[in-house]
Amino acid sequence: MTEDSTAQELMAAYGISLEEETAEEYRGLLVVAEGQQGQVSEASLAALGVGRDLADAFGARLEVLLLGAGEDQAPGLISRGADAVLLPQAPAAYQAQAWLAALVSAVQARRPEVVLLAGTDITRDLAPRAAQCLDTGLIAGAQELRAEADERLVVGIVPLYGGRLLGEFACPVRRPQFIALAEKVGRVPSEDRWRTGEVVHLPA
Amino acid sequence: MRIAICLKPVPDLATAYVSKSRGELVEQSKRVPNPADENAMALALSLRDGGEVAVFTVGDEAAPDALRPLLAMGADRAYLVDDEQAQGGDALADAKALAAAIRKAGDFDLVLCGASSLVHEVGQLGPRLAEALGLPHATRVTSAQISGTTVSFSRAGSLGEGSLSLPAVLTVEPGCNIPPLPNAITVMKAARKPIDSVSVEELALEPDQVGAAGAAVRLRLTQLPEP
Amino acid sequence: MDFTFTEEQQMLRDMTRKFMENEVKPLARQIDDEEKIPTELIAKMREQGFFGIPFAEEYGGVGAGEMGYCVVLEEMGRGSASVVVLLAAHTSIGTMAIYLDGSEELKHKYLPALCSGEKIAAFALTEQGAGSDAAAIATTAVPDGDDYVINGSKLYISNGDIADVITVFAVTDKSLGVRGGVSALVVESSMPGFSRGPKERKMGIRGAGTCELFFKDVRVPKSNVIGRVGMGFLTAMKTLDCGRLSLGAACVGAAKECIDLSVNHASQRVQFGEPIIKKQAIQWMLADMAAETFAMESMAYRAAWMYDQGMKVSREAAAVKMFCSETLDRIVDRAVQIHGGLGYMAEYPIEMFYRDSRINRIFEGTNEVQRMVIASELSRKGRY
Repeated sequence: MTEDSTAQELMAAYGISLEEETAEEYRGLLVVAEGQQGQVSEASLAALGVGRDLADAFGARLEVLLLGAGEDQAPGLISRGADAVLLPQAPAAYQAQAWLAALVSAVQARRPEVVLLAGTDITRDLAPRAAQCLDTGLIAGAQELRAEADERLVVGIVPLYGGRLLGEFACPVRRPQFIALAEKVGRVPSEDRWRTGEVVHLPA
Repeated sequence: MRIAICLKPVPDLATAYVSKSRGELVEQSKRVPNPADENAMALALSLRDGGEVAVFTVGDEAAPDALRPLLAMGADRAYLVDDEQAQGGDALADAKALAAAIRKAGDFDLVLCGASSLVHEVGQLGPRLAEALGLPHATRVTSAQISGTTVSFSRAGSLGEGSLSLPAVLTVEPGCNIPPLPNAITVMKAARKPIDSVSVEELALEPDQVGAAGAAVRLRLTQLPEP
Repeated sequence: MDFTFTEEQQMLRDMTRKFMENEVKPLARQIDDEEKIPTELIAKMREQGFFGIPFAEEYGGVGAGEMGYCVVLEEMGRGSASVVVLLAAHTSIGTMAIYLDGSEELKHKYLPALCSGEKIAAFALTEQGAGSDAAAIATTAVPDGDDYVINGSKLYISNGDIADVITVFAVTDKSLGVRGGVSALVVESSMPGFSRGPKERKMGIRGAGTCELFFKDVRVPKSNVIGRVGMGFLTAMKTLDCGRLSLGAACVGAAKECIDLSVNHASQRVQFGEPIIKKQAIQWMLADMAAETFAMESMAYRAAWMYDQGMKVSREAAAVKMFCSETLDRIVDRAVQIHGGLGYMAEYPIEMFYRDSRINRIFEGTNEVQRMVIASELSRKGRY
């Protein structure tokens, strides 16, 4: 067996085709975590927990973009499921333009297929604008998520008409799929101190 | 002050009902204005200072039913992006269509819309519109004042007070800024105010940017919630 | 035939309904108890443009025609009959006389302030000796230089207590009788010699002010004659046609409200183990009430439409007034019965509807007069 054929056999065994690799520019999950007074908020940690479940279903990597808190928060995020914590150049307090720039450039640099956010006043302000800037879709107010691993799709279940109906939404083509959870969705995951991950300082 | 209001026509929930067999909402009467957009209109009326208020919406032939009440409240005119290509869009596509329509209608000092809709509890349109128009924005505004070229406002939720220089986009929290009852004269006048039809072509937009073709998010199905 | 209401009519209806629910209904009992409509409510009604609904915009009106006016009165009829009478006496008879037959000069002089509600109008025809026999009026208007001098009194005048502008019918030439001897004149309450009697205490519509008006050498410029001297009776008849139509619409509103209250009550009142709405006796009462209301509604709006088309509607207006007033009485009576004891108690609005309804068969021309109008037209035409 030549080296090439071994590589091909390996790729076939892992279900990867060369074409797919170049076509699929977007891979992995990005969870946006907000800090309050230097601490990652509970809502963000809950979102991380939801994100980790999705990442596992996809067999994908999960990175956390940390806004409003510092590097000291990274270990807690890694132990709760982050494969990497990204630290952008952005002010600690919410500033619409600066945080938008940080989120958009993080997405452009890391190319996640899913961007997951908790449901907060800040994300309501931030996420739609970021999605518009990136020319992609946002499923907002999702009370439940479902991973469709074959399609690498996240289906969001959103209450409609004040809860009289539930709608199943998906963003089938454009990437990343932005998803903002409804308030009080998910639970803060427990820590696994054996988990490892990296800390990445993003350029300005 | 020239103010643009973005309106979403929504089903009249007072008469609509949920079909258990189809898991869908069945509408039984005309479309109505999204309540938060009416609150936005009320805020616009308090800020207009003798200027123009124009309403923009993407919709079909059912849309004028929702536009007339805003004209009766005091808006001067309305623009309706009603060609077929613009229908069935999501927030991404609609924001592009509305931004183009607003730009085409001239320079506005303020663009207002509801912070949420009767359909989806969490609104996306405002910030998307701001991005498409290249303007600063603020969400969940409960009250606002204009001073020169600055708008200062209070917001619901944790973001508190703030200010932006005009032109800017504000989304208005429902429940505040109660829309005034139109009086009989403005009701009669509303029928004569223009609702201008705007086509996708006039907006210089590619068909794949708007409507169902331009939508990123699709509603796959609706179902009843678990009891 | 297109029986749909226009968009404006629908919006007028929605607006009036909201106003009625928020501002009028909560005060209905107080208006009845205190026998007075609060000035704040009247001010709000002005702001809403309620005082100028049918009149053309060029005179300061809303321009909604008779149809729009009937829509507004119907919705108001659901809330308070006293408020309806205030509005109707001002609009469909008080101001309408000037609107229908006044010269352009006279119309521009009085209509703007009346349409805005800044001034309230009344219609003064009835006297002690002249009720159904309107031709027997004795109030005189004698020419003197550039004026007419009015002497006499009027009885049971709606809005008599607050009216600023009164359309008064007086004899200008006794020898000519009704055909050419009666004129309509506009009297302002500020004119010397004009005075009002105390408010009458009534069975119903207690919030609407009703009183005697006295004219002692009241000088009125000749330019205040509505139309031509001697044509007053014709003006009165034309104006009353309009009033009768709209009275029908107000009855429709009251009927619908009574039905809604009755259905609501019957759905909740449990006797003999189930809500009484399951009992056939109650169901048949409600069915009759609903069918009758449909008839009232259909005839009132059809006649209003005919009026707006410029068709002559004297017979139809009389039929509307007669049928709707008598039918409403029956509907309200059944509503009381469905409510049982509760229907008799002042804690509940039904008894107010019952008392308020009775006047409809009497004022704006008694139902006997309406029958006279219809019969005389039939006999003159020789057929329907």
